[in-house]
Amino acid sequence: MTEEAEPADAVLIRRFVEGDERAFVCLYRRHSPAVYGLLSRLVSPFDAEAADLLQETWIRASARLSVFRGDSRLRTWLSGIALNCYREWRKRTARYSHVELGEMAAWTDPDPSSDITRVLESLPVAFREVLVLHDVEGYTHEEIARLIEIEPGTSKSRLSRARDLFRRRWQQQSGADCK
Amino acid sequence: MSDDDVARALAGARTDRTPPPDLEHATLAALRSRGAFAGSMRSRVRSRLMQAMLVAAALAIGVWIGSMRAPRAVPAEPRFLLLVYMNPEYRPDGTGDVAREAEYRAWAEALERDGHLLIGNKVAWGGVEFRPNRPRIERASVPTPDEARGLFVILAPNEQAALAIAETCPHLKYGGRMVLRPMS
Repeated sequence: MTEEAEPADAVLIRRFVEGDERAFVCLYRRHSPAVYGLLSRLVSPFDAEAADLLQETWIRASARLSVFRGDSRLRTWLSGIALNCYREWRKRTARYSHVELGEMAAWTDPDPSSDITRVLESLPVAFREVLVLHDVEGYTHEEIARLIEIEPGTSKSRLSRARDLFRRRWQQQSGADCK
Repeated sequence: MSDDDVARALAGARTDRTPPPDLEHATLAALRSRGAFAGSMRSRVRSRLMQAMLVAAALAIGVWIGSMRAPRAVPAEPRFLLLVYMNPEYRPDGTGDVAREAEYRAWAEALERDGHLLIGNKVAWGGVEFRPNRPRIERASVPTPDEARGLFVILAPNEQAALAIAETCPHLKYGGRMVLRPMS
């Protein structure tokens, strides 16, 4: 007896466009963990914001799935929409300094995150997003430049400084953990 | 530690993360309200025709029933607005978001079953601020201790009873600030 293969994204998209709610649920369950992981790393430790952004991503995606041409993988396409949602969120929150956000983080949802996540959280937002997008998610400097509206050269220089700061904080934390 | 070490460490951070379980339900509800599952144009037209026929039938039945019996009395129990804040003293003590939300939801559902809750909702940060003759302001979606994060409309015979109900909210045990206001 063979296990029934799960329907491909293209099949589920067609069914969803025809009004099949179960097809949407399948797509949501298949791709949400990856997109939520990306958003969480960018807005950490604000998990509630990551959840709001994921919902916004799906709402926007659902309106455009009928014209999704399949030039890229669905997950990549969804990540693009998620990053647009993130960029808009970032603009809305830009007037708050990192210090204020950091202080707020102390009394918002504590996250049992990994050591790496903790170090990422401790970085200034501008450094963290370049580090996450380049070193974690694998975007190029040109793509990052388009996504967060900076010059590719700025992305490169930020990455260099971000790696340096990450390294120092990582070593500090490792030292602290050993004590 | 070289750049390669940093890159290796970070590459390992690319992990999937399970979203909060109630988000799927909320997303589906949001999409349903936008008519996302209404299907193709032909089925949409068909479903709208069907809806129109159902509305007409319901109206006809309603008029018929209404002519036979007196309107039902609306319960007139006093209502109290309970607002929940994320003050700096709020400390969930390592309780995960999902577990904590489930705890709040269970509390609200129990109140609803007992007939003490009319509305219970988490409130998103941000929103839009507007007033006459001023441009609309899109507010930053960031946590703040000054604005309510959740609201509940409690049904109780008097303020003392409403307070007793409010004091059972899990928010208190985490050090959260709450405000109870009678609704006139």
